[in-house]
Amino acid sequence: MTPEEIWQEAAGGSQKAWTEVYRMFGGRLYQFFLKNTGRSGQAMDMAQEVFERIWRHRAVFQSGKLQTWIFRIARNLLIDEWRRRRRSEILVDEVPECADPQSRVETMVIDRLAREEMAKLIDASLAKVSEDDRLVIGLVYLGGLSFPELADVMEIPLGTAKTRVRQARLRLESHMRDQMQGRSAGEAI
Amino acid sequence: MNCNEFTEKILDHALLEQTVADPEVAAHLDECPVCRERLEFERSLAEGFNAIVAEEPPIELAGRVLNIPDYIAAEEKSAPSARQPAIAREPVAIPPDHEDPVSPPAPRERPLREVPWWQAFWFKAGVSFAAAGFLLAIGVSQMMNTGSGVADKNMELARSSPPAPSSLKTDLSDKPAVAAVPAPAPADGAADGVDAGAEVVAMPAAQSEMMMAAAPAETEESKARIGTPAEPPAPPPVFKAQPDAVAAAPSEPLAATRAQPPVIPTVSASVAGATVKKNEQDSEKPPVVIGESLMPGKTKRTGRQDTQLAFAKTAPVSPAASVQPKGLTGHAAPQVEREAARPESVRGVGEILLLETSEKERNQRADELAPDFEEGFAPPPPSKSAAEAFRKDFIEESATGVSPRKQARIEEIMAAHSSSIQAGKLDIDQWVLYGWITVRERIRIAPPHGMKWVAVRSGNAWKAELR
Repeated sequence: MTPEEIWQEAAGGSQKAWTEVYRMFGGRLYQFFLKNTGRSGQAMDMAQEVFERIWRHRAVFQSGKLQTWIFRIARNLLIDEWRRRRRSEILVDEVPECADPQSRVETMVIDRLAREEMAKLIDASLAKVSEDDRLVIGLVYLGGLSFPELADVMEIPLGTAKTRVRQARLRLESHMRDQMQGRSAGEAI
Repeated sequence: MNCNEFTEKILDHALLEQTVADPEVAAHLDECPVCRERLEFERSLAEGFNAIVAEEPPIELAGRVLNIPDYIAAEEKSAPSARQPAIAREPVAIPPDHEDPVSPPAPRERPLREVPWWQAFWFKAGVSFAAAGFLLAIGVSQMMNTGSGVADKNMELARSSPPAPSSLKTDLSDKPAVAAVPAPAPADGAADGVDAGAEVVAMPAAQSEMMMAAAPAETEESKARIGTPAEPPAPPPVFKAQPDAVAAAPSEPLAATRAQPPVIPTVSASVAGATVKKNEQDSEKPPVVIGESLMPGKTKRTGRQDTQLAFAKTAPVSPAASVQPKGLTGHAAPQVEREAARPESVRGVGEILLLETSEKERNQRADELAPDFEEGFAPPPPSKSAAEAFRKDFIEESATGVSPRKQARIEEIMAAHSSSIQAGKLDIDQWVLYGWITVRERIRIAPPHGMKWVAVRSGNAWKAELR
């Protein structure tokens, strides 16, 4: 069954379908909010708020992708939280310089990191990027949105969405490279 | 496909495998080891993100989320119209929904959510601030009313006070050492009825008693007068100007003029023709500020010289200012010098002088103000010739739709740049960019609304037509 079909059953009152919806999106939402807020309690509250909103407005969702709808609510919730904390969504136009071919992050990472280590590396690097980059990376790589879905959620053109992802990834990889270089120096010592 | 395109395609992890399956992409991968390495990195990165997502969230979140439908259903049943906010909700005991007698499930309570500290009392703080502001406003308004009431009382006291005691008969011969204070007379009439034996009431109380005892018995007449209701209190002293006295001695200092009983002038607040109408008949009435008479013919001009206010040389005046009251400001330096040379107007800058000026001086002052008028802030009115030309053009255009002047000018420009002109619509905005005409000229030769100039070849010359 597709997520949309499962949702239709859940909206009809099926507790089993509702549990399945939570299983599909609960973890992703939690991690999305956790990486963007840094606080577990707040991430839980916000994830709960998202589910509550989709349940209250279950009649609104008639067509489209459930994932897009859920993460649009999540993104708006996160932006509201930023506004409450008086943070502005600053678009950083700086793009890091092209990676030196001799110190490419791909070379460093491949075959050197297990899956869990990669997760830790990503976690550490995500903490260093800007809020805007973190939001975009969270939606695409934690939320699992495609570029067209990202453009739909953020209400921006597809080209702009691709550009934002590309720039966010470059900055993330820059931090990953720094992390790897620091780790390599530590290992050498 | 090049490496940049490939890199951009594989950024979308949701479509990663689908992208790799593309024949074009596969062909590029066969040729480019760098992109192969890039693909491996992207896959590794995707696995890392998946590992993050795969981490189980706290079990508490599952409990909260799975209870949402029941909680909201109970909420909607209890208060369908009142929707509670999403946060700071108290847990509601949900009755068991199954009939297992063995082990009835514990009532599911909606766990409390973390409530930020500021959300707990923001409403109370807001209400208290609003109440404090309301009370403050009431207090301020009451203070203002009290203040105005005090002022009103002072005015009433001033009106009810007796006139200057010049009419009282005082006899200080008997008591030269006593600081005599004239007794307040009940009324003018009563004061006149007092005999010569009435004496001043001295300050010391004992002596006052002696004085009172020594006072002659009140006559019946005075008793009758006392018994009668007092006449209305005398009006406050009025300021009366005595132009004759002042005009006769123009060299007297201002202090001397002020020794005269003052008269309240009626002030007209125009610039050039400031006049003060004396209301000697209405001297007891409050002053009336009037503007310059709109019907000069009806203004009474007596033989006496009018009192005028000397206005400071203020900022330049626009043409419309003559019908508006003008503020009274301080003297400018040249005016001060001019006034300082005249003995009757010795006062500092910023004060309004009450001067006696002749008609000649009034006209002279008007002439002095005339240059200021020309130097006004407002731009000078357009010259008559320009206005007339505009009017002519407007009439011509309105009647025929074509202004011969514009047409001639356009044809002149086209003739000067005939090699650059092409038949058809003329873009006179480009002429400004080319430097053929100025912006002002472009405005002048603009076609009427909804029409355009068109270049038409006529032999060797260009003609301009309106279409």
